Amino acid sequence: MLPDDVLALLTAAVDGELTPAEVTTVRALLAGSDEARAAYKRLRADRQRLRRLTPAAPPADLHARIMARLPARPPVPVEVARPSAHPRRVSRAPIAVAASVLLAVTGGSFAFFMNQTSPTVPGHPTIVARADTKRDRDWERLLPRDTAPPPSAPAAIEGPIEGPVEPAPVAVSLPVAPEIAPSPRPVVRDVLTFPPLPEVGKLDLARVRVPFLATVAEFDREDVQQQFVNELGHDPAFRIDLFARDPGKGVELLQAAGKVTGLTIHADTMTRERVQRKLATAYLVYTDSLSATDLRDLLVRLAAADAKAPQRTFDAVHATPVTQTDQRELRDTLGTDPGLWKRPGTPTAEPKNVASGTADRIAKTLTDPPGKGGEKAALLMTFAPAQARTPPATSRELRQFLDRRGERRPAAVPVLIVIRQATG
Amino acid sequence: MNDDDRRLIAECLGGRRDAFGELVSRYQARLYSAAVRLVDSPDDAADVVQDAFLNAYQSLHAFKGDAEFFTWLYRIAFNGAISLKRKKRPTGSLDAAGGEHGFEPADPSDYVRTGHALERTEEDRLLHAALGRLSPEHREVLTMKDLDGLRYEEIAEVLGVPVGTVRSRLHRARLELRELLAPLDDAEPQDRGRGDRPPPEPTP
Repeated sequence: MLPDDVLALLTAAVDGELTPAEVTTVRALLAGSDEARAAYKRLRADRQRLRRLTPAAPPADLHARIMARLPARPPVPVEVARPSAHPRRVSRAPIAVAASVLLAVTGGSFAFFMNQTSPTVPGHPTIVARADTKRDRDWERLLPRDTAPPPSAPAAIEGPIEGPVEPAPVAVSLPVAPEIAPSPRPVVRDVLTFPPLPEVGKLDLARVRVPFLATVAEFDREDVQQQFVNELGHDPAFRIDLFARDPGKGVELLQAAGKVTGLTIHADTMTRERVQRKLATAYLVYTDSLSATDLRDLLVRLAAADAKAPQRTFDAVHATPVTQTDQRELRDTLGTDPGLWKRPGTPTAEPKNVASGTADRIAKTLTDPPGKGGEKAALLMTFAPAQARTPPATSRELRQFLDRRGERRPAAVPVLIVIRQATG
Repeated sequence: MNDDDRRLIAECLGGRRDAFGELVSRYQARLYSAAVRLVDSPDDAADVVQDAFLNAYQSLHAFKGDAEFFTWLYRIAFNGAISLKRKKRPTGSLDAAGGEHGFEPADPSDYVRTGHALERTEEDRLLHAALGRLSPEHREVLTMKDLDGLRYEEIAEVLGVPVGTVRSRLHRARLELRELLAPLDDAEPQDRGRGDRPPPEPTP
């Protein structure tokens, strides 16, 4: 098997593209190697085979088709016409004067720097013209004597210089005074130096409101109590979810805490049975006679009572503003709309005369003695499951609660306290 | 550039239209033969040759004469053929892609198809089949060299590659063709006796 470089030489020889040196090499190779000679013969035969291939004949009308499409003359490169000279005659005298001055300054500068002697650095020979006295004498004899001024002197300009001549500045003696730095230049706002900045509008602070979330046990902390009171001040009515491991036990604890804080919880008879038999999973305590601080005190008492038990009943407390769904649930449970969003004691803008409200107040005083509506009352009803709720028309306690509801105090916050099963 | 081409070009630029006709007559067959191998059909080859001559006529004043006129013409035709093949490339069929195929040549041109080769001699057919199995790069330089008669420098100019690349590519192409033709040589016992004759002398 021939090496690849030998084969490369042989293929190049078949191509007829050898250098003279390579021809000598290949001749020696062919003379001394039968294998190389055989390979060369086969490669050359292949080339001859290819060259014997019948060439494809062009169509008979190809020549005519080409000639028919030829334009009359081959295009020639188009020379771009030079613009004609401006007809206005321009005086060249200022240009000539300016060119003369420039030439004189350039020549003088060149001569000045050429006359500067450059120091010779040891080890770096400088090429200098050596004086040849015989040659210099010959040149002096042949050349006219140089009467021109030295190259460094400014060349004399013959003829007048056209154009205005600036008067020489006159030296004026001024009183010496301390120099004062110039005042900073005023900053001029323009398009180039100050790119227009987009108008930045007023930033709107998005206040994200997080629902109140704590545990009943945390109501022994003042910060949690204050947070709770603040939260209740943000909306007219709230729903408070109390998660209890045993909702029935939770109801009992809430009733006890209410009694301590002066809250009377009217329990529906059927609901009371369900509490005892632990049939319901959630109970509703509705009241609209407690203020935010009253509710705080209630939960503080509840937390204290819960802490005394061997095992805590309550877990988390959620306080969220009531929704339309809550209102619908409450209306279904009570059989009437208690008016959760109604603002108590809102003064009307219309002027009233004394006589218009007098008869109503007298009638109300006769039918509803003072102090009756000021009772802190709440109603306990079954909340879930929904099919276990007491029909509003059948509950005597519910009717009594609604009848004894007086005018809502201005600071009162209607709340739906839902004691529900804790799943965690 | 040879003197005849130089004279005809000068006369053409001087306004003698028939001078270009003589150039067409001189090179159309050779150029057409090369174009047929570059494109897929005789009709396309005729179009490529026609466009090449017309482009050359339009740019005749830009021809410097530092290369052969045919090389310059060949380069114009080669570029035209490449453009034409690129335009015609998306002709595949999804149905054909899933079918079973036997041996197919790498080059689908007419001149390597069996039907086209039936009009040629048996040796032509075998040679075309072998050429069709070469890689496109190898087939390209081999036909340019052996069939179109271009030198290394001219091939390098047409392809836009160094001369050394042309030389090495031709070397590989010849060895690849040799492997393809070797079974055919073994089947021709009458050729075996010729191996003892001394080969012709290599020429520079």
